[in-house]
Amino acid sequence: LKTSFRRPFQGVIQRAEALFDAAFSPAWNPLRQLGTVSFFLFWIVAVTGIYVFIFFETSVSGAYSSIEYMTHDQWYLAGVMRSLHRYASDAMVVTTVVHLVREFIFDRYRGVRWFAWFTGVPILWFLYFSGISGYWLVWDQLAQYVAVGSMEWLDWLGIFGEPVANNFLTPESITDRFFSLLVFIHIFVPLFLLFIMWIHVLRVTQPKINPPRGLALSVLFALTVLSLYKPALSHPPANLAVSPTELNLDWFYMLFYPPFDKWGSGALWGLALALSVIVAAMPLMPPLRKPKAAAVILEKCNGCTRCYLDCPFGAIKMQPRSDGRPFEQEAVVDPGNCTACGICVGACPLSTPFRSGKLVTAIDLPELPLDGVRGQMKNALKTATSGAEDGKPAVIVIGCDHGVAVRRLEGEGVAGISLPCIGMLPPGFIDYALSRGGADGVVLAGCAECGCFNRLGNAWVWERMEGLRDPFLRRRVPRERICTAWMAAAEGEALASEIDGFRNRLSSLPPANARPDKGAPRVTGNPAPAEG
Amino acid sequence: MADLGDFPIYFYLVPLLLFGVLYILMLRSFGVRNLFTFSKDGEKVKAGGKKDRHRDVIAKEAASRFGLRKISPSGWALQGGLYLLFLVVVGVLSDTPGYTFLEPEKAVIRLSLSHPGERKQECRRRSREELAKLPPNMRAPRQCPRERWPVRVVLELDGRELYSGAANPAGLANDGASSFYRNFKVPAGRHRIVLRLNDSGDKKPDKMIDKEIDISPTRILVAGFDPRADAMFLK
Repeated sequence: LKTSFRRPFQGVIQRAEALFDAAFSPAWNPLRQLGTVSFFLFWIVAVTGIYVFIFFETSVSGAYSSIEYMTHDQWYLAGVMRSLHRYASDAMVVTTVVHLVREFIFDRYRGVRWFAWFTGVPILWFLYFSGISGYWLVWDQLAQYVAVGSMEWLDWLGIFGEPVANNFLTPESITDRFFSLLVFIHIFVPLFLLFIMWIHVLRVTQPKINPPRGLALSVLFALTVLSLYKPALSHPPANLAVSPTELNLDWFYMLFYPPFDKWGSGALWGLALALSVIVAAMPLMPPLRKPKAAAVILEKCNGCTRCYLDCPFGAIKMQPRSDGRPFEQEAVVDPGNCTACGICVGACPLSTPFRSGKLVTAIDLPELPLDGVRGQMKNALKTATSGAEDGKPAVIVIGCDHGVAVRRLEGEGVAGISLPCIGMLPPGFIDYALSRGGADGVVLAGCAECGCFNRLGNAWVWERMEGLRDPFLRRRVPRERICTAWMAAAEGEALASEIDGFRNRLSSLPPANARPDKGAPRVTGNPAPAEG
Repeated sequence: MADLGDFPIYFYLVPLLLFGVLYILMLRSFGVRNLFTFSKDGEKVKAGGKKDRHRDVIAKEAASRFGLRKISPSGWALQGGLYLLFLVVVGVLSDTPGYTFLEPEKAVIRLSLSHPGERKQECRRRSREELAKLPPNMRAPRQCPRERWPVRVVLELDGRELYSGAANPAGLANDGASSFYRNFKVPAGRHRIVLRLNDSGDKKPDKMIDKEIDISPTRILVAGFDPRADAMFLK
């Protein structure tokens, strides 16, 4: 039951993401950048809003006419700005909602992620409030419909002495002061929204808030094209003595108004509050199983900070040494923030398999110690090498629990092990498999690029292999015998095909026993030093 | 230019100053440079000491390449198509399909009134003995119990009851106004409308208006109570 009901949806999204990867490349894939694109859209809305405000008149008679002036007389600039303001706001609803759905489908809202999920709920409320308050300012028939409807909705709460909808009873009810108040609301509610967006990412280490430059410019360009092709227009001016009839609703913000007309305020309040409470409480829903947090083995830790720098959840802090040993700092794990992804284990320079006896590193997972991983790898190597037909390469596939299930791909000459995250893999294990284990090749199969369940696992592995991030993969390791296949869980067939191709390429390489380390005497005792 | 309406300029500046503190905190948290510049991959790495900064440079350089692939011509075409699809979704749903809030041949009667019912008990004069028992600052000669009667309203259209209901007075002591707010979509045309209000617990006759009125299509006819005239109105 753990994530089973999500699997079909995950498959759909992963296939869509693979399609988008082909079109945008993973780094620019909007589906992998929904949060950052939402931030960017907010900035577009803010900048265009400031521009539009310059020409906006905060009065009953001037509000509509000033916007008409922008739309028709100054269409080339203020009109485009108005349209951008609307379309970027609409697009922000799309990216925000898809972001929410995607995080839910991929089960990225529980554990240490609860805070970001929980603070996402008020973001939705403030986003809607911001958008709706903006529509009032136009003071056309749509504004009238939305204003009266919103007030009737609020009146249901019964917290006001008199119905606030009475403020819209007759044309004389509205004053210029009211528009000053509306402008005030429409400026400060989005500021509150931004404030909560900040809180939303506050606990995320190394948060991404800006999209890649190319993606940002493309989004801006696309919305500008839309603004020119289909400028945002107003309805006829509001008249409180006459009811609006046919309306062109902005369905991104006004989806709930027709149900409100039909079902009434109480039903809509119930729906809105029930949805909010259910969504906000989702992190509390079962299964609540949380793996045991990583543990620091202090006598091995020299305070090198690599685990601290690599942890994607800020679960590791460096603090002054507590055991009197001659190092400045020591790593300390905050269990509340630890997801037991094991990336810290992969970052530790002591996590090298070239040792005899029990493998003890400086930071380890209690439920999957590195010594156990080495044991699994030994078994997998034995399976792969003994199962390979004569002359066929033996390959070991190292995957992660959130990517393709690599154990299912095992077959003749192919064996796999799965880690909580590919980032848990210390580079020394690749060296070990090729130089000591008898493997002809190693396949690294983490999550899709820029789609790591643990945010940064595959990126860190890639950087370690490229020699850009400690601990590095040693130079002596033949790169042609390593295949990286960053693929989503739904891409099992593609991975199988990639492995076949890789094995074919390996067959054309010089025999594995021609490699200098093949069959060399095994070194025992000291760990192999990492090369810089 | 922007009109500040009846509010002085500081009305806008004070909240901005208050928010300024929050935003300075936010800028500190994000790092100002990272907030306003786009790195190639959007990656932001917190800077610590010198050693950390060196690592950040390395990480950024690497991350700028991770996830970037060469896009094939068909990929570019697909990208264009996906942008187009996105624009179609945003552009269309921003104002389509249309929504009929009110059929053009209909009108709206909006019952909207807020009126305090009469007090349940009349005011009475306190006796000398009662006044003497009170502290000197509380010796008001009249005592008026605060609780009011609920207000009951009936609205009829062409002899058919559109609405009938009662509203309790607002306030914890039931001493506020009773409020009604309802919309009724009705066919446009000539109608006989009767609006009755009782605010005295049926101890006095209803306040009432009975009028034939021509309601043009889409018009909003407000049915309410004018406290100055102490009478119902339809306008």
